[in-house]
Amino acid sequence: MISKFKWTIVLVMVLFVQVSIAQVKTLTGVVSEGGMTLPGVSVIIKGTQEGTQTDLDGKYSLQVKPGDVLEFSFIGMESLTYKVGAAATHNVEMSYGEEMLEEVVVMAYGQVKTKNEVTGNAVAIKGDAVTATPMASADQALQGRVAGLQMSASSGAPGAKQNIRIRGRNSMTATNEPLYVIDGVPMYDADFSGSSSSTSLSLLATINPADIESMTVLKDAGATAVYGARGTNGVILITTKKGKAGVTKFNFSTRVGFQNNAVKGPRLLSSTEKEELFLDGLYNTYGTKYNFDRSGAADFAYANFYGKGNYGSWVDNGRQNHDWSEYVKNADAPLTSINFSATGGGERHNFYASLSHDKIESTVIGSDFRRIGASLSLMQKISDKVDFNTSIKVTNTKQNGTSENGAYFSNPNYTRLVMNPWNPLYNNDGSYYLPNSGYHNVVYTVNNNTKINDVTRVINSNSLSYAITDNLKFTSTLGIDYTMAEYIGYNNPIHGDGRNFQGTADRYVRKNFTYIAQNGLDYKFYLGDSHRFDAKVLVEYQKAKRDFLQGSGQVVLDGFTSLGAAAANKDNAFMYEDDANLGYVGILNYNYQNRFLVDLTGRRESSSKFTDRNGVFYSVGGAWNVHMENWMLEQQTISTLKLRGSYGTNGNSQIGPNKYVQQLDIVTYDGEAGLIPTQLGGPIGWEKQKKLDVGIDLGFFNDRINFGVAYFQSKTSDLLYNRSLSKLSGFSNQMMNMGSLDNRGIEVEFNSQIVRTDDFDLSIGANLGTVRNRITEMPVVDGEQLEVRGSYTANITGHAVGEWYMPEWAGVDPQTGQAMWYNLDGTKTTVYNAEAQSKFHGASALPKYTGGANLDVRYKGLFLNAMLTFAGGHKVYEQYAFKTAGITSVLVTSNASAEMLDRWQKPGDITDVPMAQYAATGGNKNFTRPSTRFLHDGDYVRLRNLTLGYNFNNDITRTLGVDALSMSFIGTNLWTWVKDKGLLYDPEVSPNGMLSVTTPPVKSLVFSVNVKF
Amino acid sequence: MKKIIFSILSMVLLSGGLASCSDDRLDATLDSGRDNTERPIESERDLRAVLTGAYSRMVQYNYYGRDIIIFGEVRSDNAYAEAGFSNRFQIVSQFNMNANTIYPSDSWEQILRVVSSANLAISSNVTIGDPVNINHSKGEAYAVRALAHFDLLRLFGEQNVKGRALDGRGVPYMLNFADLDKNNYARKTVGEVRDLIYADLVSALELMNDGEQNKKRLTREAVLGLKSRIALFFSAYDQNDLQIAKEAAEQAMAVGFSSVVSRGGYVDSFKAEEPQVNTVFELYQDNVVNAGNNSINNIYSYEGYGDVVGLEANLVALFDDAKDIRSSAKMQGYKYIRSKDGEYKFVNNQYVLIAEGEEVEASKRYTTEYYRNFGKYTSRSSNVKVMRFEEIVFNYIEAAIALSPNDAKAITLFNELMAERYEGYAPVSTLSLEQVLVERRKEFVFEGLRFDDMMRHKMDVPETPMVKDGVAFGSYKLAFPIPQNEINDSQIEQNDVN
Repeated sequence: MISKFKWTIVLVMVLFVQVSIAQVKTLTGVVSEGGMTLPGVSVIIKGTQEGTQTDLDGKYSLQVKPGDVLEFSFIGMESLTYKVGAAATHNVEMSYGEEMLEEVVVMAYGQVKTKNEVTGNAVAIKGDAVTATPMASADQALQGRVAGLQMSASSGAPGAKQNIRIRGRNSMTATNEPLYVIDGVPMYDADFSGSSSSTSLSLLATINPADIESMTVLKDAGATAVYGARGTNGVILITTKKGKAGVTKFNFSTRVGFQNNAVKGPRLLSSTEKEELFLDGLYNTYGTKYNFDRSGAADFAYANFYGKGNYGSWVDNGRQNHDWSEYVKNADAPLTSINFSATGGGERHNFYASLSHDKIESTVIGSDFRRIGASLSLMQKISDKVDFNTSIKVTNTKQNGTSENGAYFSNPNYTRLVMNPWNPLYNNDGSYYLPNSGYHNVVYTVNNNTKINDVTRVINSNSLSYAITDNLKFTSTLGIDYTMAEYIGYNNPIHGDGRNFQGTADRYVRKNFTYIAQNGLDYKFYLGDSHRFDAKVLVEYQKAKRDFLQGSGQVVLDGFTSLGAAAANKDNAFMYEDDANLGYVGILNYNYQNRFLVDLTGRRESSSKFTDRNGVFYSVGGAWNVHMENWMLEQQTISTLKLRGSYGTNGNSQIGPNKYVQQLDIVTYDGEAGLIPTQLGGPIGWEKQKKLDVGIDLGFFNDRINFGVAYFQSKTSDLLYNRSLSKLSGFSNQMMNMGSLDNRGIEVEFNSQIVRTDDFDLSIGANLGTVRNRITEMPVVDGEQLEVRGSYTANITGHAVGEWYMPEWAGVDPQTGQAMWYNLDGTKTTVYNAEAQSKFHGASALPKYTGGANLDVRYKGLFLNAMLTFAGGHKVYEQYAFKTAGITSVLVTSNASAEMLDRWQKPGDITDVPMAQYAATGGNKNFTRPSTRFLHDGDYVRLRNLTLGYNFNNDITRTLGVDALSMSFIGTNLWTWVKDKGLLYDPEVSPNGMLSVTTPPVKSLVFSVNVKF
Repeated sequence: MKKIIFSILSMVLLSGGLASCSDDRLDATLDSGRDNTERPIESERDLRAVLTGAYSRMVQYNYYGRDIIIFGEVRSDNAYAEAGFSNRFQIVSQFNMNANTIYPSDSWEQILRVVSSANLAISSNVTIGDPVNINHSKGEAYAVRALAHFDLLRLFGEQNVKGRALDGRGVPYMLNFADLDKNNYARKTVGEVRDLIYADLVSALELMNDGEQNKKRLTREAVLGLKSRIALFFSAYDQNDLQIAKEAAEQAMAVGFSSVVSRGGYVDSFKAEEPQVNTVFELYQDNVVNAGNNSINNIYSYEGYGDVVGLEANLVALFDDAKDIRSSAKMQGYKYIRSKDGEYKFVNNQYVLIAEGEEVEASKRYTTEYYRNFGKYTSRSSNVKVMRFEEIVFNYIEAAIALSPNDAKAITLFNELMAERYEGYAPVSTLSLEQVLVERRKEFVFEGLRFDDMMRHKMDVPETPMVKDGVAFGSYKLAFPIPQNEINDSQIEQNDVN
């Protein structure tokens, strides 16, 4: 037995020897792509200079040893490797490199990492998701895709700013908006609209979404500390498309669709319903005094209120209904978009170029958006060691806005709510009805006035890198962002805002110039075989200059609209601001066999905005890829198990410049220049934030199921707090570093590919982020923490920032029809000013949880994507209730919501709407004052995106002579559910929680075609 | 090799030129303002600019540019804020304000900004320039500070509440620039505020000279006139102030800068863009620098916001004398009303249908159904008349006859003034307080004096469409609530809330 075993061993050993002697052999094969043979593919034995190329028939032949690794590469295609075994032939099927084999995440300062290499909390969004969202600006694609990212539109008008909050509110006075970094250039958060009253214009609306390769949302300190002062609110990295080597390929996509408001909004009273309430009110106020009953109210009104609110004329004209909601609506507002791009190149250079044109109308009259853009990105390898990259993106955006940021008489959205339905759109003779006073005929003003934002933006970035050795690289980057925003305003002299001035004309020019220079070294080294280090040091200088020149004039002749035609009262204004920022950045990544990772980052930064200019920020992050441990390799179930955590600091410097100066401003009086003290000033330094983030990433069954959970806590201290001063000091407030607040929450992400076959894929995913926001210390003044109480909200330690604070509504007294509120002792009162007690309502405008869920199905070429987003735990306030709930004399020249038809009419009626009274008495005088009557739960669920499409298969595309062809229908915001039935407005509101009169988010249906050739 | 040299060169240039790290690269530009610590107020010109700034602040809409004028009317028997326009001032007219209402809070803040400007001027150490001019400007600053505190007291003091008079809670009196010391924030009594105002007026009159006659800034005449107004105000609570009012008015009239506007010039004096003979102090506005939609004109005008309308029954009765220039069509206007039959106009106390074909004057308002102010603040750019010479005359008359009912000079002044108002005026030989008040009301209707005139004589505010049973003299509602945001920051005492 034993001898037999020995013999066997000897035989095996002999065989080994034989193999090692007979090692060299010839390997042949054919390389093809999609059934076509590929000539010129390079076949190289990895780690050597040996190799060959395929011939015209795609054939190769090479002397190899078993165990050699061959690398097949061809420009523009995925490289493939093959480990030589016993076979003498190996045919290779190559493909164009559309999908990366492993998902990578772009991190701060251009670091690219695989998922397992990341220690921080970063979420990557691919460009596909961006282009699949038919919106004007790319940030709108982020909604529902990133746990802990809350988003709401400031307006649904195309191109308007989005409000993004990552992990809650981190500051009270400085900005809560995240930092946007486009191709390495940090952007100043700005509204490019020339007029604060008219539609905002997002900085991202000036970027063509189709040019975006990927977006990364950085949430924790490990990922954001390198952005130091500006990373507090999270960072959104935007990487634009670069050239890909290979045959020049073209991509053409076009979409066309139409949009309507996602939520209808409150229904307003019809003309006759308004009359009913009006007459009720007259009867209740004057019936007894002038001795008429309810049926006599119409005669009384006709005799005594003939001229009020156009009542008499409306009656004389036969009580016609005038629905101003319809008049201001732009139903089925069209949307078109065309994109064309090309990419190609060789080994030493490549390019990406694109052209785009978008035109989107708003769902309200008088507002549209048009953007034309071009971009070019070039890479040139100057030598083996020197690379040069440059890209330039130019867009021109023209937005016709409306005065939608407030209760302006010319705001069509506001007009819809308040316009007197007794006012017709046209006179009997067909001309516009132009009321002498009160709300304007907004259809006329929109058609005859101008509010145009015309913004040209050039973003240029250049980088030069020099590989000093294989492991040491020097990179120098220069980025330039230049924006010229023009605002062209005109108000006609006939009707509306321009009438009292015989017409007005305005022209504003805003020029923003930012440049950023970075010089850095990357060094890669190993200590032993297993300890890999990547180090990066960098110095960064950024300078921003903003200037603003405004001209305005009055008295404009008919037929002219330009400032040049203004005859009188010309005025001008000018403003210049600049600031600078100098940062030193260090990053050290340590990687032990991909099992243990440690990242250290640091940044020293100086900013011109502070008296105490220098700040130091750091982070430390670590991860343990448990699944890479040997003892985990034996099982198949768990494919990823990663524990990670990070701790670090950030700051916030997003305040205006010169806030520390005791400033005297220049004013004019009687032709003389005067000085007024406007700012107290005083020392200010960095707002500091400490962020902790721990998480687990789990993957099962070869990562078919992924699950991630993270806990975060962010503590902000030395808040840049615009402390309100006693007005007795002569100043309203003073910027100081005081107070602290805390945000904490849990974020969960889940993704699962339930079915994955050649013909059928089904995957689902979901994410949820919670955030609890607390003021941990209010600024201390005279030894006591401040308690700042307002009409709607209050800031007091232990509560959320801006927690709702107002009297609690106690309903309408069933006996008297009077509005009531609660006293502090819980009894009900009709005395609002002196007795109703304001109290906290346990919620702010910031959702306590937000998230999204998505479903992706593919059957052969047919695909379906659906995404739901939701938010909840917050409350929103109906700030225009003082108009829309007005059923007193306020109603005469205005309108109210149809809810008001439920008014109290007789003793015993249980309702939320008090008795209609022309002259209010008792509690009804204050019915529309702030109370929980108009505070609604903000919880909502929304079908954000639904796409149904078809990818044509290879047979068809080959016949058509194209590489790929797909068509899809995209629906956005098709369905919305709100928890509070009293919330009739769109539930997506600006971060202050006030339901506004901006254009609501849209529901759109879009048809899209995409061709690659 | 050449390329590599080129690249290295570029790198050096980039790093050296752009990312050099000297700290002065971080200095921000401040080109539309001035750093008061680095460049304090030190010259005559600087000081004058600070005063110019104070006047600019006074003429903002939330002070003399509109609000304080309108507060004096919509809380009186002259006018109210009607429903159905822009909803401005209704809450004031309803006497329904609370600590969060915008009007008290805006006025509080703006008036204190004026105080801040005055204190900056008073506290500055000015060494460069002519001492006479420096003193005059410093005197103006004391007067501005006195006037601002007086206005603050008129609105927020509890002098008319529950008979408290001089012992009522007044307002804090700020004497230092950028004062953050909370000890100086406490509310003083009405009486204490009065004494501090008088002290400031004394300082002002000592420092100012009669060479400065620009009526768009405070002159000695204006300061004396204001002193008469202020003393008359306090005479309601302390009889001794009547004498001060009378003397101040007498001194003001003696300065001789101004005089009563004639009957012929009366109407046009309100349309003029520049100070008139009867101007004692007016705040300047022009076509470019004005309050625009927030102007007084816009709140009165039917073509503007049009919220503030006259109390028809009261004013129709008041202006029924056709011989009175102040009742003329240009001042009080015609009142038109529209019905299905056509346009009516109000003539001889009855509505008359405008005849077919009758010329319709474009300047008139055929759809106006409210009593409106047509004659005063005729455009957005109209200067705000803070004090007219006629007021000094009336102040004298009122103080004098209160002291001595047969004061001969008072009667003479009254007759002289009335002769410039009534056609064919027959002089009177005796004068009652009632007569004086009626004429004073007619003279200054819509100019913001009425509320204090009523309070001075302890009158109740009558019913208006906005306040059903009126407001009795002594009610807590006669004082504005102290703004909540002020109480948050300084914890000063709130007024009575019931």
